[in-house]
Amino acid sequence: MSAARRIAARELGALHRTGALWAFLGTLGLVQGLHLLAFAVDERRTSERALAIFFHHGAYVMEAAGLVLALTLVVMGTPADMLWRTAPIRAHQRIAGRFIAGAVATGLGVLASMHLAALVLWSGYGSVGHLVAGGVGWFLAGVLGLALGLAGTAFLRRPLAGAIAGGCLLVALELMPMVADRVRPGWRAVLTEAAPVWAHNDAFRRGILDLSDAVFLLGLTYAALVAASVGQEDRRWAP
Amino acid sequence: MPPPSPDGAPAIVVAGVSRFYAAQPALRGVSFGVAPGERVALLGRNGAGKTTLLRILAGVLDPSAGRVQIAGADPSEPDPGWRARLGFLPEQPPLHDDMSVAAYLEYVAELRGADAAAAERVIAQCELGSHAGRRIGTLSHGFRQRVGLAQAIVHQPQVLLLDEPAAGLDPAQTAALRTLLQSLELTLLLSSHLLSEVARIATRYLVLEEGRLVRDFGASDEQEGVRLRVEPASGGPAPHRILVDVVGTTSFEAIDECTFRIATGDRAAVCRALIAAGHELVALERPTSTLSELEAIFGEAAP
Repeated sequence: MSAARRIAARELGALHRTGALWAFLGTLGLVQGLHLLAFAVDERRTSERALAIFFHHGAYVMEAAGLVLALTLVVMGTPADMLWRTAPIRAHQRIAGRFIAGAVATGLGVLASMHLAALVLWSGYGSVGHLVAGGVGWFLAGVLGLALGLAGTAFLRRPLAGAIAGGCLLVALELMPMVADRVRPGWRAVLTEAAPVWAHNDAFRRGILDLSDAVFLLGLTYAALVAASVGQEDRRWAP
Repeated sequence: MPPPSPDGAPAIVVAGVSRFYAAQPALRGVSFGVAPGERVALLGRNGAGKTTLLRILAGVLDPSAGRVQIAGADPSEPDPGWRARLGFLPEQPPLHDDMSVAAYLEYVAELRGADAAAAERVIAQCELGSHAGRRIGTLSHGFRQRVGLAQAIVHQPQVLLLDEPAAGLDPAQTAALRTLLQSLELTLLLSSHLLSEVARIATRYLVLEEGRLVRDFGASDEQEGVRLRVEPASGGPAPHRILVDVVGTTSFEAIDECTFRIATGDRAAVCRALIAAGHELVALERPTSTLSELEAIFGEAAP
C-alpha cells in the first residue's frame, strides 16, 4: 500500500474511532436538512426550484464543512507530527493521505445530507439526476474547502489560524463577483469566474453535470493541494 | 533491513553547527563526530542546546550555520529516503492516542518501509505484548515512553537519537530501558539527566554548555589514548595525511575530519608535526570518564 493510501486509511480510522466522523455527518445532515426545510421548500415553488435553492446554498455549507474537516484532521494529527517529519515520506504523500481521508468523509457527508432531498424524490417530485448532479456539486465544493483548509494549516503554525486563513481565501474568492462590478471590463469576466460556488455551481444545482465547472473546481483544489505540500515541506524545518 | 552507510564513514558528523532562534543562540559552533556503533551521551543543563542538536540531526530543524551528516546523508537533502536509516524519539513521543499499540507500530513500520514482521518483532523486543491490543491513549507514562522507543527502532535503524528517553520512568522501567538500549546494535546518541544510567549505557560523553561543546570524553580514553581536535590550516597537507605519515594508518582513529584518537605515546610527535604544518590544536584531552567525573562536572544535582 502506498504511503498516501496508508495515511488516508489511518486518518479515516481515526475520524471513526474518535467519533469525529459521526459528529461531522450528524451535524452536516442536520444543518442541511434544516436548511432545506427553512429556506428551500415553499409551497409556491416547484420541486426543481426548491432543490436548486437547496443545492446552491448547501454548497456554501459544504465548503465550510470541508474547512472544518481539514481543521479536525490537522488537530488530530498534531501530537504525532514528528512521526512524519522523521519518516521517509514526502510532504505531498502526507497531504494526499489527509485529503483522501477528508474527501471520503466529505462524500459520506453529501450522502448524509441527502435524506430530505431524497424524500422529495420519494414523494414523486424532482429526479434522480437532479440529486446526483447536486451531490456532485456539493462534493466538489466540499473538497475545495478541504484543500484550502489543508493549505492554510500547512503554512501557519496554529491549525485554527490556518483553517481561518483558508476560510478567508474561500470567502475572498466567493466575493470576487462583487469586486468585478467595480473593475475594468477586461478583468470583470475573470473575477466573476473566480467564485467557486457563485459561478461554478449553477449547472450542478439545476441538475446538470457540467464538465467545465468540475474541471475548474478540481483545478482549484489541485492548486491548493500543491500549495499545501509546499507549505508542509517548509514546516518540516520549522522549530 | 535499511542499506548501510558508506564504508568507513562516521555515523554522525557535526561540523561547526550553530543555531539561532531569532537572535538567541541555541548552539554555537558545535563540532564532533560519532563512529558507527558508538554510544554517545549528550549532557548539559536545561537550555544547553541538547534538544536543538538532536532535532538538527533528526532533520527536523535546519542549522543556521555549519554542516551535518547522519547515516551517510545530509538531512537537508530533498530525498527523504535516508530517514529509513534513522530512529528518533523526541521528548514527547509522536503517538496516535486513538490507535492500539500493535496497529500503531504496524503503521509506523509500513511508513518507514520495514518488513511485515517488524511490528511483532519490536513488540516482543520492548516487552509490549501484554499491551499490544490496548489503545495508546489509555497507557501509563512508562508504557507510552516504551511505545515511543518501539516506533524509533521498529525499522532497525543504523542511528538512533533519543531525547530524554528515561524522563518520568520509575526505577524498574529505567532498568528495562537500559537493558533494551544495551542490547541494540546501532549508533546511539542520547540526551539524559540520569547520570547513573548514562554512565551504564554510553561509552562517550559530550557536554554542552550554553550551546557550546565544552567537554568530549570517552569511558575508555585512558586505555585507548587521547582525543585530539584540530583546526585545519587552509594550505598544506591535511591533518589526516600527517597522522598517517607520523604514526601509520593503524595507530590512530579518525572520528571526523578534524578529530582523532591517538595513542598516548604518540601525542608529542603528532602535535609537533601538526603545528609544523600550520594546523591549530584546538583540544588534546585525556580525561577519565566515570560516573564520579560526570557528577563532578554537574555537581550534586543532575544536569
